[in-house]
Amino acid sequence: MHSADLISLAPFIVLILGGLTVLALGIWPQHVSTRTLATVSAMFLLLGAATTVLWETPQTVNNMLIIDNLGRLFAQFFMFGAVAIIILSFNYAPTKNEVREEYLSLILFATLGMTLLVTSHNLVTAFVGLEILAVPLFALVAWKPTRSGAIEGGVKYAILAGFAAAFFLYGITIAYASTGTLNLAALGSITTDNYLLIVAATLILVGVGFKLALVPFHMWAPDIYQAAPAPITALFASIAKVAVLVFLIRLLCLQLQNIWEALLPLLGILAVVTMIVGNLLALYQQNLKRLLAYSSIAHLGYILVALSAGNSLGRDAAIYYALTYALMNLCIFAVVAAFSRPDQDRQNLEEYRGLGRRHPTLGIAIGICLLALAGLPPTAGFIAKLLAFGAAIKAGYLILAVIAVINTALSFYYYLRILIVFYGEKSTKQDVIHLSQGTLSIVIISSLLIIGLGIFPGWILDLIETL
Amino acid sequence: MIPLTHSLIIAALLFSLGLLIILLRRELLFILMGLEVMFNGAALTAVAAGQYWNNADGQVLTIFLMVVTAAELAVALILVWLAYEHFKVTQIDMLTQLKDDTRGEPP
Repeated sequence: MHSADLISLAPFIVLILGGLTVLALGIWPQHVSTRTLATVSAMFLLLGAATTVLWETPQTVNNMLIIDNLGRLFAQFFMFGAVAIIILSFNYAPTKNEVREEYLSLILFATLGMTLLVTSHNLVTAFVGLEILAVPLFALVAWKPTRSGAIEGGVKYAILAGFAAAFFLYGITIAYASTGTLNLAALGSITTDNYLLIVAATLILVGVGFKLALVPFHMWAPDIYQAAPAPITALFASIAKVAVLVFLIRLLCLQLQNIWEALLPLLGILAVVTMIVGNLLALYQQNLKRLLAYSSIAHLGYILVALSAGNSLGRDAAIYYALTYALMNLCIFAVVAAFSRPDQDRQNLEEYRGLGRRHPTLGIAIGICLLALAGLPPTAGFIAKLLAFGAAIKAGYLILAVIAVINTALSFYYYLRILIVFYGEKSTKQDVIHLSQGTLSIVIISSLLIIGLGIFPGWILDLIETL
Repeated sequence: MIPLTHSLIIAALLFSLGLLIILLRRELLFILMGLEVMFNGAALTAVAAGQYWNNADGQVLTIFLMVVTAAELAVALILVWLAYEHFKVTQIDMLTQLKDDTRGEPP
């Protein structure tokens, strides 16, 4: 450990200090307003993002963490994402007066877990990162336990997260038993045909698959999406899932390339099953949050199509898709949070009828989001799908790409159904909705980014290609 | 000295036992116990492999594992207690508020 490592560790230290500071404000003698607490947490996140600029890349810290451009890109993305989540939570009516020290520090710690996960260079660090990410999340899912379904969602997520962690851990220990090392670089340099290492990678894939809600490990996703308050749904539908995905990409595509090649058929099968099941379950769903859960399952399937291409093109496509996916989900759940009732989210699709007409800004934003999710130009969703399916075709998996395109066509049905409802003529009830500036700005910024990345994909693609 | 394969087989049995407990039992507390058994299967593998490879990584991993899973189970236990407190529920099948809604006809 050298003093130069402190610069590499600065974002982590800032986040830990931030979490503790926010908690400590709870015992401040005077009453601290929620606005102050939220501002302090957002400041710490922005400071953390700023310190990543000082990183000298690439280097490793004690062989535990790897500090590189991929890690920097996503660390900054997560921290800005977390700021957005804090702004959404602050303006979210159902948890009014509940967004206090504990809630905000849990968000900070979850962000720490994500950053640790994407920069891990050792399976132990990855496990610790995964758990630091998961434990705050199941506390946040059950936030304000009196909301309907909150406790049930929390319990289910806790059990599933434990289940996933057990598989992940068992995979780690099998990898250790077969090779005697937990370092990713050392694991990657093993070229002999080690079948136990493939078993280990499969077990890790199962653990990660639970977190990513791949079919057949997807049963929890719709329940949790429905149970969690909308800002928290936005948190784990966007940045938390992307953190796990980036870890998977780093593990398979950058470190263990021979394992990646051995797992290609499995990834292909998972991709096909995930796409088809996700889309079919979404078709007749009437509950908007559950529908979006199924749609995000299908999107993970498209990302797996890119990953199962097995070349660097597929890797870049998966990274681009991950960023786009996070933005689209952040935007659409921000809209759900904006339209929430005073006590809970609107659940049934019919409750949203006509809202797009009455609130043109949010209406246009949701239109952009849905077109991006469906994969229509000029949005980033189109470029992401183009790259992902293009990678599969380039690698010679034509069948996979054809199945993916058919699934995209299938998904148009339910995305357009949401759009029709939002722009429907007759709205049943004219209840008043107070739109806050903060939520509006998040929605506008993320939808502008979706369009921007769609028209100028070079912005981010040039960066990804140099990783 | 016990050969590595013996410990690995016991650990695999322990892991599958935990898995079976989770899949077969319906009580929330039993499910948490099953999780603990699965974690211990993984821990046994780590310790045995650490002895076989003669380095400390396995033991370090085990200590991390115990701390982290204890923290995780503490939060999970609070949630189980909340479920009992609010709904008098001890079995996972009785938690049925969240389910698919496909009644409405598509427009």
